[in-house]
Amino acid sequence: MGAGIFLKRYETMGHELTGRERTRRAIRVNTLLASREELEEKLSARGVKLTPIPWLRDGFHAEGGESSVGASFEYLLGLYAIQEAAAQFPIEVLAPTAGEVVLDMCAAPGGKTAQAAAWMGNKGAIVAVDVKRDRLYALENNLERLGVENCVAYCADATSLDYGSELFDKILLDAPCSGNFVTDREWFTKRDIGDVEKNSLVQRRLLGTALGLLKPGGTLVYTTCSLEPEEDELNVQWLLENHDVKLSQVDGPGSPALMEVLGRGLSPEVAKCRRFWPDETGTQGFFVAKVVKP
Amino acid sequence: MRELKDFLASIGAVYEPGGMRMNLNDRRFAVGADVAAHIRDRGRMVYAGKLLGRTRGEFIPSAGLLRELGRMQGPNKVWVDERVGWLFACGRDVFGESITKSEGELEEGACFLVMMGDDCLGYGRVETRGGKMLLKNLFDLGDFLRRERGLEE
Ligand SMILES: C[S@@+](CC[C@H](N)C(=O)[O-])C[C@H]1O[C@@H](n2cnc3c(N)ncnc32)[C@H](O)[C@@H]1O
Repeated sequence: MGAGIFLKRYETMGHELTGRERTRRAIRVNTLLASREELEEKLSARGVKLTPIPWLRDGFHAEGGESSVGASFEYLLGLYAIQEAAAQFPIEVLAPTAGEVVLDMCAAPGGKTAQAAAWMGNKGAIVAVDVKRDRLYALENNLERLGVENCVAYCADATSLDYGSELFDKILLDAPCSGNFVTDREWFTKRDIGDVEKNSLVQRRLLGTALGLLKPGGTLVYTTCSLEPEEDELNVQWLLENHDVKLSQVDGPGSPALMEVLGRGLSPEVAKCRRFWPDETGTQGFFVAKVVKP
Repeated sequence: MRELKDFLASIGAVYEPGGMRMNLNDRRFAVGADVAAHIRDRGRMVYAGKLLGRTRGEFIPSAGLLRELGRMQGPNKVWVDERVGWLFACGRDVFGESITKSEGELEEGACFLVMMGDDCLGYGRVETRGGKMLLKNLFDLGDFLRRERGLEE
């Protein structure tokens, strides 16, 4: 399909992207095993300069260093995770705490599962689910390396997840999506609008299941790394029209979500969600909604 | 968990993991009460609580177990410098002359944790090759990188 149609779409949404935007290397201090100061000291001794990312609790940009950040003693010892900056934001919004019971519905390879465990200080419980067995091997390695001890992981289809009568305090739905061109150079040649529409239907099924598994008063964070409104604002609009939910304001970098997309006006509530545009945030494209079940 | 007991005995460690013990295929877990209370479907479970290790003929300790044992007084330990530590993490054996300090009798067949400062990088067994003592690499943390490469292929 090519870049043109997508770049034009983004232009109608107010962003002139080149299609060549890229991210900076980012890491997350694994507070289960290290403090920020300890990691800064150890990596700076290897010539790696860490610069805190102001809108993240544990995130840093990492520059320099003769050995790869993905192959250092500190990496093997689990003192940090390599995690793109925008991808660290959803857990900051969910803000899970010690003792809560959290469901991570589309969990592999476990970047956000491990981050949630760090926020929870390995207390309480995380139920992590993914449908793809081969992607769960990476999750298992990450949980082991990063010292996560409060998680039980399943290979299951989350669209039909039945967890007995158990309901969760908080749910992360980091939905399967079309992704974006910033982290995938081949993206424009692989994607068309048909994929986007198909993904949006799966996402709605996942959203419906998530709400059924959430405690009254509980919080659901819905997130994608797609810039396409069908997977973002239009799904949130669908949620507002079909379920009894409220949205909470998401502050942070980027812009409020769009209130008018593809010629359609949306509820002003939708603007409480957050959109990460690569030209604005220097990250990949991202969308985050915080949904509360009354 | 006989294999775990044998492993602990081989490095001279006394250790009793807390929580409920669970086996998933060749992996051994210790599951705390908070997590155990939320297990519903053991059939499709792939991971739970704290991984202790894997049994592949020999018991292969997890990174978490090595971390805990490395902090304890009692287990056999050898220390190496950073250069030798990196070679070890790349799968190489440790030659006797590269050991800067040890705790425990370096006798044939005994197993030792390989330490770099306060960090445990893996473990190995004392052997003699060409009349020289070495610590044969049985497991090192570089395994994470090898596993990641395996998943990418
Ligand atoms: C965006 S990725 C998740 C990334 C992950 N949360 C992290 O931070 O590392 C989406 C995941 O959804 C999984 N997935 C797709 N359909 C699913 C379904 N029906 N049930 C559960 N997981 C699903 C995919 O296998 C993929 O691993």
